[in-house]
Amino acid sequence: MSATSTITWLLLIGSVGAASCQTAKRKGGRGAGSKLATVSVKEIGTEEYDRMELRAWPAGESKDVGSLFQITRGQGVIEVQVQPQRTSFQLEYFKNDQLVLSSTGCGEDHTFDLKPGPNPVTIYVCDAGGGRFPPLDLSCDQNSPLYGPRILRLLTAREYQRTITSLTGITTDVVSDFPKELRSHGFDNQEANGLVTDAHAEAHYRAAKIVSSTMIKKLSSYVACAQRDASCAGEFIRSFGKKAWRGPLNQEESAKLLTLFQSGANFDDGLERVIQGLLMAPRFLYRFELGALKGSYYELSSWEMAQALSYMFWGMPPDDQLMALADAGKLTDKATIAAEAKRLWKDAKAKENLGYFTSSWLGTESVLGVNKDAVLFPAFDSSLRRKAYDETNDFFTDVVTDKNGSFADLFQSEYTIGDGALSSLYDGVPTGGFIRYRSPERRGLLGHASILATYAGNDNSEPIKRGVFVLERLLCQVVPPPPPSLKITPPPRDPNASVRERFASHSTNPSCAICHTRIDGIGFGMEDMDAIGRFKQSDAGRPVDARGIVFGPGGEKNMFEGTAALGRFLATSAQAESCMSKQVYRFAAGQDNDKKIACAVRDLDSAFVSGGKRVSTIFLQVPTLDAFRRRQP
Amino acid sequence: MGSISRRGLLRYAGMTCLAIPLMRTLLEEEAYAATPVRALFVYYPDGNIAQRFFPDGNGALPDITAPLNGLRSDINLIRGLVYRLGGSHEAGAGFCLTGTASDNQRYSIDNFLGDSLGGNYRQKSLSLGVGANFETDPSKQISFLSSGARAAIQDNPKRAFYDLFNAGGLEDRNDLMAEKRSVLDYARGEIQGLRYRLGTIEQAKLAVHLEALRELERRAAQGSSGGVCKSSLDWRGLSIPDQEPNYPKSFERNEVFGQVGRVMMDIMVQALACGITPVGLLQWSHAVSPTTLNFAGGPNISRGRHHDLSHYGGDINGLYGNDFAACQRWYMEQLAYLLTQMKGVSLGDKNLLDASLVLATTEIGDSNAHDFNDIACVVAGKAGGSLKAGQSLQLQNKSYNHLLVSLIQAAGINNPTFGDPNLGTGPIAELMNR
Repeated sequence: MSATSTITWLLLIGSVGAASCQTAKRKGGRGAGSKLATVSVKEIGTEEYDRMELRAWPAGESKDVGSLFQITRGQGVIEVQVQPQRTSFQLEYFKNDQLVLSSTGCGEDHTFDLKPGPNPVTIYVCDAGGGRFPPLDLSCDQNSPLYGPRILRLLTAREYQRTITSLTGITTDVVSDFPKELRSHGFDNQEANGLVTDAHAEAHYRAAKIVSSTMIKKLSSYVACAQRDASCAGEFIRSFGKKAWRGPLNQEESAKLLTLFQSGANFDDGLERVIQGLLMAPRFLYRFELGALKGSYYELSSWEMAQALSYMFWGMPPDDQLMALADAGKLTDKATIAAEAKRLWKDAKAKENLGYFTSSWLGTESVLGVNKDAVLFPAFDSSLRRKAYDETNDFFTDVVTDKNGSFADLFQSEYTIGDGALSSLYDGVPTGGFIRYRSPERRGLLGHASILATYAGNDNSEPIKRGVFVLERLLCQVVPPPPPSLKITPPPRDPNASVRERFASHSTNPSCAICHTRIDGIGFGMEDMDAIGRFKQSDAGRPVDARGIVFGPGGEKNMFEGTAALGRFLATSAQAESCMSKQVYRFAAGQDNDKKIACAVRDLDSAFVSGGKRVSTIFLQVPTLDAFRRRQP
Repeated sequence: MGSISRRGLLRYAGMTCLAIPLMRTLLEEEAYAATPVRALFVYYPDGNIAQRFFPDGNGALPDITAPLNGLRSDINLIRGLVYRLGGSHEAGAGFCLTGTASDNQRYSIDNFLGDSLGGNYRQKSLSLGVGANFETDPSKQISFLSSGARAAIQDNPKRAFYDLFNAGGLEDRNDLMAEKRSVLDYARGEIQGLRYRLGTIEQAKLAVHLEALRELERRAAQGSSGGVCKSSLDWRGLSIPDQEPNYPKSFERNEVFGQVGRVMMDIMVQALACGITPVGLLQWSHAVSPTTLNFAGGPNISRGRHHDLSHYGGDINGLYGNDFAACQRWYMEQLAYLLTQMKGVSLGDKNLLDASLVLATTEIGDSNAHDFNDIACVVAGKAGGSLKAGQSLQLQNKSYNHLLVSLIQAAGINNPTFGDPNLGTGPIAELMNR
């Protein structure tokens, strides 16, 4: 492998005439209806290898149900045929049975809709030099959806609790035993994960029962009428139902609930059933984002938009003003939506929700539970962990709201938020709730203990964890699992080795290096910070070596030394900026399928750039995006 | 025996803290009926070290499995089982109970057997975890429902205990389920109506929701029939508040990992013995486990988190190899405790273990090498007679799917494959008693 070859790619292009011809010949016995898809494989002349393996399997299925084509070098153009369907590919090159190039190493999803006959397909393979990254605008092309999907978004446990509190004033924790949400990219509100299994339904029922019995005990706070009869119940259904469902009930819906009321033994019992019914109904449990048909797309209704806004900015149901605007049908108007977004953003409730975004995005909640060696780090107790956790949420919120700061500020700020205890961890200067960093080697988010301690081991830093964190959370890259053909025999662990030496085998073994050059290159550069986020003075008795490398989108190498320098790189990285837009959009839209949100992210990113790269722009732009307001038919 | 003596026994039970002997007496009743087969799946994280797990040339158990020495006649150790799979911990997690790598077709054996055997039980299957939901993500899920949805695993022992045994200060579940059926009917009607209105939109999501409500209705109809255990439990010093607003939750804290594990095992044994459920899943932590095994009752390993140690660096007897082996040995000690408890429960003419099939498994072969070879699983119990026990088998590169087929067939379901049909047809002949 030539050391300079950092980008290697291979084109698989359907060879037009000959392929059809050959396809026709092969399928001779099958009849004309079963035309296969053809792709052809060309060799990479410049690379050294002796065999390649192309695996093709139906998308979403096991690799093992597909076909494996083993192709030795020197055969020229090879054609392979597979069923014309959505197909995933993996391409690997071997030299002396050693994996030297792999499509898995590029971190891209190689899935294509194959049509009968020749298909133009491009598969990238990456080598140990760091490979190439998916181009930023790869996915927003003529095949990408312009608008979001029509969906039902299940309330998360947190949203459920806040909704109940906002609706009834009940602050009792009713979601303690809701099944824990599955998180994707750190976010607990991803629509595809929001499934109601029996355990969820049981928890919903239990919560509904707690809420209803609490309400019945002080019914006069919720029911105004003196005469407790069916018409009183009808009024309750209309008014409380509208709040609970974040929109008015139609006649049929009201009638069904009245029937439920009438099944009760008496007024209280009937009303208790009504409350439980309202809380078990899909209009309570899900936020509807279905829209109404407007020609070629669906447009979110004012009610749907009211909810989208309030849950995005506040994590709770719409307030009176949003409800009133929705009543008046005003929330299909872009200017009104933008004005409301600004109003919600400026409210204190937005800050708390931004904190939740921050800890989800960065995964910093883990700092509260992560194990640390108590002998090495006696000061890192639960109180300091909590401060470190709060710090990051408060800092992000401060930068993007109060300071209306830029993306770069997140990584270059010379201050953070915390008290003396945190300040001494950082060797900073505490002043009135703020900490000023003394050393230029600590800047912005990457200097936070919440991040540095979460992505570390019990007793020492861990470059892999930090590298994966930066790649996935800050650069939005996909870090793939090791390729199936990888046979690893790591060398014995030497307890006297420095952290860097321990992981050196990753880059000396070419199979490992395909991915680990990218991961460890970043993590190594953060070796100046220890397992709890202090400056590391030495490593295994030797000076700390914090030279790192982060690969740019074209595979270019950016050398840096130390965590603060990595922050400087990220502060001006277009990839990191675009990733910020993507993370906000994932959170706001509950969508984690990169291809489906590609156009939304592109639009968000360009609004962000033209808006002076203020982070607030990203949040404020989301609700007005066509991709968000409109849904695919 | 009739209901009067049962009540008498229950009164007596109120004065004791020992739940297991009580059940043993109660369940004598079942001697008159054929004992239905039970199944229990135990998951432990991050693979193993084959050389220190499987019997050596003389058939002796090496250090990791040594805790199972007293149970040799109840267990099978099978070397040479492989996952036909590519990937790492995550791929293995999705595979170890499903036998397929296909996202669209995952239906794990615990829920498959629960759905097959559990129609007349209060709980078709019971999924308990010990930190199974702590610091994890969807890619590490092992248990999947028939719809492919990820099954929830209960990590809170207090909740699990109250749910199953109707005990304590929280809501009584029988009451919750049995009364006000009208509300469930109403909710089901709303979901059905929405499903009809939406046509092709969100069909899968609503189907899962509908199935969940039907299951709740089924349980409500089941009421308390199919098994009642009123019992006390030794909480082993655990104190769990009813409200858990903080992170990590009290039962997720590393310090109580061992205690929670013991309590969960006790609950599981009781639930299987009392006939609340025919199928159990006990999930210890999860793939890429963040647990540090320095908690009370643990092996006092604090050099690293479990997964960190699993990358012991190739020297199986090195510093880290020894640490990792001590961790995995601890998991085998827990398994030995669990199997011993099961053996101590009499179900008519057999003990619970003999009436059951048990699989303890993990998501990867050698975590250090990220391979899927020599999956370090333990098969235990006789499934009422259809499974052989007490063997040490050496198979050659045999697809693990054959083991899953063996287990469902031992439970009386004669499907030739389980999971991905391309990955193996038929059982492992050596395990089957017919």
